[in-house]
Amino acid sequence: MTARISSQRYAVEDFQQALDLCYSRGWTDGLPVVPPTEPAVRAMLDAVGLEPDTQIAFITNRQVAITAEKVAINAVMAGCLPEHMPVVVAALEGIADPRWGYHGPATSTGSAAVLVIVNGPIAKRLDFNSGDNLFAPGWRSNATVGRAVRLVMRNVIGTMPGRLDRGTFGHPGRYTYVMAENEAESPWTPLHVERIGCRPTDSAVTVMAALAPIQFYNQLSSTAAGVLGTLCDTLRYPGQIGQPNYCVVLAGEHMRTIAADGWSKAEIRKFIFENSTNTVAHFKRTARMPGAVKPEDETANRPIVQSPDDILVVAAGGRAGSFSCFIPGWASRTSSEAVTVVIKERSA
Amino acid sequence: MAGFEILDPTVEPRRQPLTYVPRPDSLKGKRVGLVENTKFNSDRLLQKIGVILKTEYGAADARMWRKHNSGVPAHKEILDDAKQAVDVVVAGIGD
Amino acid sequence: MLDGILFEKIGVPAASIVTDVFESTGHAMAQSWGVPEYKFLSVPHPIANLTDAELDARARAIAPEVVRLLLKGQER
Repeated sequence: MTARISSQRYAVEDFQQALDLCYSRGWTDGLPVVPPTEPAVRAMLDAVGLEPDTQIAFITNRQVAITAEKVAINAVMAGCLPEHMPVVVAALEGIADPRWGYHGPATSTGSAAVLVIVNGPIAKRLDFNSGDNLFAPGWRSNATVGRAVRLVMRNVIGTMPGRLDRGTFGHPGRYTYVMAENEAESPWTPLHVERIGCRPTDSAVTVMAALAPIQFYNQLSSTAAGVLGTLCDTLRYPGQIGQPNYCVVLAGEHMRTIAADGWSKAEIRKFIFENSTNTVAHFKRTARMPGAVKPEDETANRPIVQSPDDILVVAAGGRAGSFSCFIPGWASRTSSEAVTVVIKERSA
Repeated sequence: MAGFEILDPTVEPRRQPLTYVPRPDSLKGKRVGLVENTKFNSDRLLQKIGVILKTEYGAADARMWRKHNSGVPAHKEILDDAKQAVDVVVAGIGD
Repeated sequence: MLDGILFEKIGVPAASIVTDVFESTGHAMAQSWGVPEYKFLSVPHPIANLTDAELDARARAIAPEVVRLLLKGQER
């Protein structure tokens, strides 16, 4: 590929000067970045077979075109290998989708990060973690793919704190928030097969505007209803009433308990939908809804989501530990919904 | 790595000159559109502004539209409606 | 804030109002849309927890500026 790289070039004497330049320009997420040289950027572009000026996505609300060249530069900086590029590209296509609604989750005081769920054979091939320490450091793929997405959001789309990013808290998921589904051990249909009818041999990412994970503990139950009852008791009080997507992540012990009862993901979703309601009276008393409490509010039940389909159920997390978690989405599903995108891979 | 070049990861917004619409001389007899962004009290504050524009500045009318949500621009139905139905728009406000 | 720009594009004079903590965001949006000098108004933040009387006062305070921006527009 010999098409021209059009980005401005900066001459530096050595690695340290390159790093200092990136920091001084505000191009990093606070961590050091890999200096993006032309050969490294071209290797990224070769991995996806794209010309530098190919438009990956257009963010309408920001009037910004995301080109393959700029994705490649930020992916190098994040520490990605060329093999990661197709995953980064798919995630960006997801957040540029009108259903994800870029402006809301990116700019809002509500502080959503981009949760990236990886499915399909690419997860194992590129060693995306789906087990112990699911959200913790240590796996290059999980760390760098999410980081590349955030660097594109900052450097290309202009999502900068105080300007077009007003997250009151943000959260650590804005460094990276990538997980793979544990398809090898899961008894259930993988997320991408469920959501958009992928074949299990396809690879895909699902992106969801997401707050931080909230874990719950249940060591005592030996039934699906027992485990999920504890989940529902915890999930009912997230402090938001907008009915966004939720991602429920069931780790090893709970996964096996629920599976032993023969429950499918659809049954899990239905149980959560029916058992995690709050009354309108409760929401008004706790200042999540405006207005005085009316008598009818005491029996008006409001589910946590608009539909059971808004709950993404994923098998992932450690083999040991009586913990699972749920991840609230942002605002409401009508303002931003999770999007699943097939990863386009080039054959070798 | 001695003496090398790195590439700029950023994109600069491009200028898109906008020809601004000619303004009326006053609001007397003008129809005002209010576009509220769904955030709490945006509608009430805009409605109060609309009342003042009518009672003190002579606007003929003030009507309100509600966006789908605060994260998207006013949707096509609002834009099409407003083009026909009002002379000026006030949009906003809260978080 | 973007709404004001969109209404201009379809030929309707507009005035956008944000709350003051979001002025930087308003300017950044204007810059994204290629009109970094775009003028808009701001009221003190927040408005969600104001009483009716306080909202009246806010409306009263901003109304003359709304009129000025609607009539004088962006060219100064």
